[in-house]
Amino acid sequence: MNSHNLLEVIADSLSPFGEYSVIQSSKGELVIKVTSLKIEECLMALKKNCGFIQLVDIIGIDEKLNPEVQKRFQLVYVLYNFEEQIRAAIEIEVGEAEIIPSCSHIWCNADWAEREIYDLLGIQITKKNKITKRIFFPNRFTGHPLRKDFESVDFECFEDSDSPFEKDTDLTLEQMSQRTVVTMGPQQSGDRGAFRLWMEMEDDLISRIEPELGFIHRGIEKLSENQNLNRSIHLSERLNYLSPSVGSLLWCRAIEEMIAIDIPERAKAIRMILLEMSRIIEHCRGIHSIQRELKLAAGELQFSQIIKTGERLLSRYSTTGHFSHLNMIGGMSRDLPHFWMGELMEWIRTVERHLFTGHESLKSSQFWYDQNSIKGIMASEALEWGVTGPILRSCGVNFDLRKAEPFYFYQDVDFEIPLGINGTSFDIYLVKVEEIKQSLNILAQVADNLPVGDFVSQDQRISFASKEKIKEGDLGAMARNQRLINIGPTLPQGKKYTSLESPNGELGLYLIGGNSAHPLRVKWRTPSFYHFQPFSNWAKGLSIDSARVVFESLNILTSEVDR
Amino acid sequence: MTNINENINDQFPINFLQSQEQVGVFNGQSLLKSWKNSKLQNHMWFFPFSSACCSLAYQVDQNLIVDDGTNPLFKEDISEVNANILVFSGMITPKLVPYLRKVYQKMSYPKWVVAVGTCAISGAPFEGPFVMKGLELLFPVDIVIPGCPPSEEGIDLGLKLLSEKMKKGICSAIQVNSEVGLKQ
Ligand code: SF4
Repeated sequence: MNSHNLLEVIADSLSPFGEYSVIQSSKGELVIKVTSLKIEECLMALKKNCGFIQLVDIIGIDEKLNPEVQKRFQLVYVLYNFEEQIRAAIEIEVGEAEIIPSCSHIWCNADWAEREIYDLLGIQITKKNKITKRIFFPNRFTGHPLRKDFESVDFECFEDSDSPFEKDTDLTLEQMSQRTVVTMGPQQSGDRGAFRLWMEMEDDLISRIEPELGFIHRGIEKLSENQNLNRSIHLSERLNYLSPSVGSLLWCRAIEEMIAIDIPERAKAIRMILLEMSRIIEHCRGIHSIQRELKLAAGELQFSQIIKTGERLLSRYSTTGHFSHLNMIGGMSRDLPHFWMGELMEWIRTVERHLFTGHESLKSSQFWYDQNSIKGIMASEALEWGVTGPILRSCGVNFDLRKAEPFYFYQDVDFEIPLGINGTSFDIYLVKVEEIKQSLNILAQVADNLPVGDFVSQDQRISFASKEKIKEGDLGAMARNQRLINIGPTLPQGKKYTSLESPNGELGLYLIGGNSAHPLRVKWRTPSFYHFQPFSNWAKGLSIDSARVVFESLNILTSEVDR
Repeated sequence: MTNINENINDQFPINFLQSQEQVGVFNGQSLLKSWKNSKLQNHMWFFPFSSACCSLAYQVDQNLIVDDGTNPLFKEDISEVNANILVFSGMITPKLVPYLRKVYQKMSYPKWVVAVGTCAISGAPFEGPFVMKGLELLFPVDIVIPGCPPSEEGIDLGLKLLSEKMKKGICSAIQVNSEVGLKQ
């Protein structure tokens, strides 16, 4: 089936449900505008007949300031077809009082996305004739922060929340008395951020589990709407603070693609180095945190050494500590320091050595194997829940955005996609180890062929005029610099979903520009958000100790979930 | 030292994730080093609370510290009930506010509060409607350690200042007529 055929299939399956229009962009992405109200049937047909088996994200947009549209809101469903490797965005307009049926019976992962839309935008979505619950803010909170007319949050109205569990009416009194509700958090040690877990225990096993989110909801998306583009780079770095340069890379790349700027080849290569280094460090962090969890000394030193030396190498480049601001719109903010490439090659050798020793000692540990193979995830289940990245690959699904949608030099470098079989934590561990090896491979190839030249684009729209021109008293150059400092680059009209393979999975960014310096809507699609959601399913029936291992292997970061 | 395990409240079990490192959030080398030398280490307990990325600042340069049972900081779990020093880092969102108030109330006298990172001091990187502009809007703060995330030297200096303050008995919250005095 090529994409031409796919268009015909879409036409066949959508025509019974009223009007629609399909636009195919130059990169092959589909935008389907549905005007009828049978959105549920349309989505079902797209999944059943056209192969869009994964829901990537749902985005809600408030169009209040746009005078051209009649209805206030817009919903965008981003779907993915694995066979054709095509992404489709289904757009529908929603009025203020309209009620939209939930599609969580079509894709399980729609549940949290819809709750988020109701919470932040106030679009009413019903599930089994009930309006969905809020997700970040407590139920008694009024107001919807992402609406354009939202003003402020009243800090005094918040109280500690109650148990989220509804009474199970099927149980006898005796069974009820055996169940106890335990909470954990919001204070968690380690670097996972703040969240609270409500757990209902039956003896030692978890019978129900419900995460409570929103403890570090900083409103990154709302803040970026009110700032110019350059000033939001630091917000994107704090999205996933374990690998800060990945978020800012995506932010800068999305804007560069929208403005249509080609960045210099050297900047592309440096960005690839940053991305692969972040991947290595974050994978090691994931493995290391399970080791700490299990109090397993074998191999711990090696993995922590990789993290430590890698962080040190990165901070040698950035010189500003952890949050580096290395990526900027149009390229890198500074060139590689002298002798840095030599240090990188040395680091590659160090990682290889440590990885070999660490992996040898973990592989032979029966305890490590037993503790990690308690819960397996099936591939179909993982696809339903929108799981991506190493976890999806550990269930045997051969999918990597670096291969499917290569950017920069990813089609030129040679690397393989490691796959697991059972989807257990142990498989995730093996996949991660193999991925580290592949990343080292990519790093070595890029380092061998590092292009020379500029590290930032000289395009008039984003880069500063040279000092010589200012000294000569060139008024045009001065005005350009003034404008770049005060206002920054302008985002052209249009909507775009950009994504990349972050260490954790698919990191996506949906941007809407309106010929202004501020974006009209920013939506981050973070892997942790979609990995946390099925955790409450997968942890059922496990003891707390095993649930901890599963949790750590999912590598969830609350700052990514809450945003 | 009392057995603090008895005091752990159901509402705040902090030993879920990575329980063996209760001080793990703050077990950066610098904190340990400066605290080990302090005379007060056996009387005063930290309650480390980190809601976001500042926790990382201490783990980047951390040497592997093995819990061999000799280090007093690793001996037992800590709950806010026996802690005297609240070390808070990260953003203060409306949802955290009631929880933080509760923690502060339950802490034993005298209470010291250390605000680590720009977020806890003023909410700066995320200044907007969603984060509170500083911890001192909730309760008195003794020491602030600036930086995003703070540097190791900054943390060192901050803790030194804190122990000096303790030696001199300067504290923002001392209970009047309390039996629990300031031990020196
Ligand atoms: S001060 Fe900076 S490093 Fe610390 S929590 Fe805030 S954003 Fe993160």
